[in-house]
Amino acid sequence: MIEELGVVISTDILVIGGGIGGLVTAVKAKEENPDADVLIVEKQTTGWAGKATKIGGILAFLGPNNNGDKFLDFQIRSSGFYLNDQDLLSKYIRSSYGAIEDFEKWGTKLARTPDGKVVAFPNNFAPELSMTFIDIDLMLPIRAKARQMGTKFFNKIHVVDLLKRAKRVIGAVGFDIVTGKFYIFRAKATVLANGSCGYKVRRFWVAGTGDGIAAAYRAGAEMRNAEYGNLYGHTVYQDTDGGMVGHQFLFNSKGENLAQKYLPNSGPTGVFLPVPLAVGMETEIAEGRGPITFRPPPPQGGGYPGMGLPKLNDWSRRMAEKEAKYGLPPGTKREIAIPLHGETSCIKVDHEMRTSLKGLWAIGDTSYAGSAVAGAVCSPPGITPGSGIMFAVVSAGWAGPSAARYAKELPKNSLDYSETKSLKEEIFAPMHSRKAYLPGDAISALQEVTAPIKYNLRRNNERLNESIARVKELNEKLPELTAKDFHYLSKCHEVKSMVLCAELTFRSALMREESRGSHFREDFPNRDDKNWLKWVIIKQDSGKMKLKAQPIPIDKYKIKPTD
Amino acid sequence: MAEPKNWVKEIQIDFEACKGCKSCINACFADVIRWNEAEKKPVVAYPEDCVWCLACEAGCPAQCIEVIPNIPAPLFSSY
Repeated sequence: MIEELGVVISTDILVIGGGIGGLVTAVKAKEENPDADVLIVEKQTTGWAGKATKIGGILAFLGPNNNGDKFLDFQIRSSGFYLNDQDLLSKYIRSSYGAIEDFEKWGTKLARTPDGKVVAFPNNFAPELSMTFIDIDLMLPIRAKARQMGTKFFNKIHVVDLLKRAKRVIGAVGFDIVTGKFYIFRAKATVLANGSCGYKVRRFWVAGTGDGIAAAYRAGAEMRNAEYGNLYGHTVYQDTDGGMVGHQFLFNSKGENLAQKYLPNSGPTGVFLPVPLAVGMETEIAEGRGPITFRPPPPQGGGYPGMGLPKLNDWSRRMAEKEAKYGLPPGTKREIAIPLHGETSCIKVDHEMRTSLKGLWAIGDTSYAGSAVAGAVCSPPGITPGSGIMFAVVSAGWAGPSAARYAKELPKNSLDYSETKSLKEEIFAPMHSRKAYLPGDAISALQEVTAPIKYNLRRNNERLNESIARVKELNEKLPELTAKDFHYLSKCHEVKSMVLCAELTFRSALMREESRGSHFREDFPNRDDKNWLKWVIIKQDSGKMKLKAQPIPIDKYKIKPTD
Repeated sequence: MAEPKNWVKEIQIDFEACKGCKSCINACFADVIRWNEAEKKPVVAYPEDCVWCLACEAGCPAQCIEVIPNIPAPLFSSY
């Protein structure tokens, strides 16, 4: 009896992750089929989880009067460098205004002008793109809407693995991080909405541990563009890890402007660091011209005071007060750091966000790179801020109805007792470990491989092999992980997910013998359109990581490389 | 063993003022605060996982939580 193993819950649609993407998936699935049972399972608390309530705030969209073709031309030539799925990028950007309308309908607070219109600034990082702001409690009205439509919520449950029957995903298993109770979710359709992998380097990225990516990989799903899981941004300031704007105002100790030095005559370079500037900053420090400091001009004012975003304003005030009260004395020179954000988001999906496995969808930050919307740049596309929440919402708008249609046609699945039992034993193994390998120590060791620029941004054959060897060592130590309670058991599984994401990134990067976008190889410094208009696809095969290079259908796309 | 690299020094809760509404527990995205059933009050169970996002502070109706950050931040260097 499967019920002997744990609590068995049956649903039509299982959504893993209760952040913005998971909530919108539930709403959209219910709109498609109000009779479908929809369940959201979240590791923390639905409506507060994930990244959207932390640094979110910005939404980039194509307004009704913006020229989509002009945007696509720029985005593909100057940001994605032809690694985009051009059809999907076009579908995405043309769906973005609909998401703004949905936000209004759901009652989330968007930035307003004094006369009540939604604010739409031009986005200076890409032509034809508009930008607005949303308050940080954006998920609460959507959660209320999902609940009112009949969605159920299970919180504090860490989903570790997917269940399969005859090559089809039929649910998932996990445990309650408070009580340790084992849960078996039986579902006709499963949607992964639990984010990217950020390796816990930056403050507000700590929730991104790649749990969905790891579960999908282990179940046999294909991965794509994993080498673009190496996002770096500079942080202003290192002392608090706060903010990251204005890299045109970075100076070395000699007073040289680093953007002028390393990015002469460049066009829009985005909010995240372009490779030459990041590598340049590393050189400045190595050659003794540090520290690097941020010296912006005095603020000009502008915008609309408050903009009708009370929670965001309260949060900004609280942050400023903390920094003033507990931070460095006024006048202290504040050093810039360039920490890893990672944003590994490599689950390969089609135009309805279906993975390569039947019964499994992946949305938002689980599949941003894997969808190939962004191309040769990490998610959120380095050049256009404001696409994190937007992609989660738009992709959920495709996956929810697609999963609902699929679930409608299927009978209930039966679960396999022995498969479920062995997954349960493996999940709880760290509780019985006699070693003392703590998840915190494993995370530090992993950061030593994933975070340094020399491994993850300034790549070459030798160092990539070195990083793969170090990840392999970590992998071999994972069976020793020790958890003293169920909170730490959750941390142990986060470590396992992150180690796997690191391996996917490094192996993919080793295969791509060229430089393109945020993938930079010292040993292959040029873009190679002759041999590398290809996606690197990774899949588990007989317990091994198998890689292949799949040609991009550039002939059928509108925008082609020009010499 | 690696040195502890915590983002906060301390999370203080004024239990006299706390109404036990669990807002702080729900708002936390890092499982830092847990519920003490015997006392009917929250408890700071895993302070090492706090990144002072301040969601607990901001959402507390009694305004009885104070998160004290650890500055300079223990940010992992990339160079």
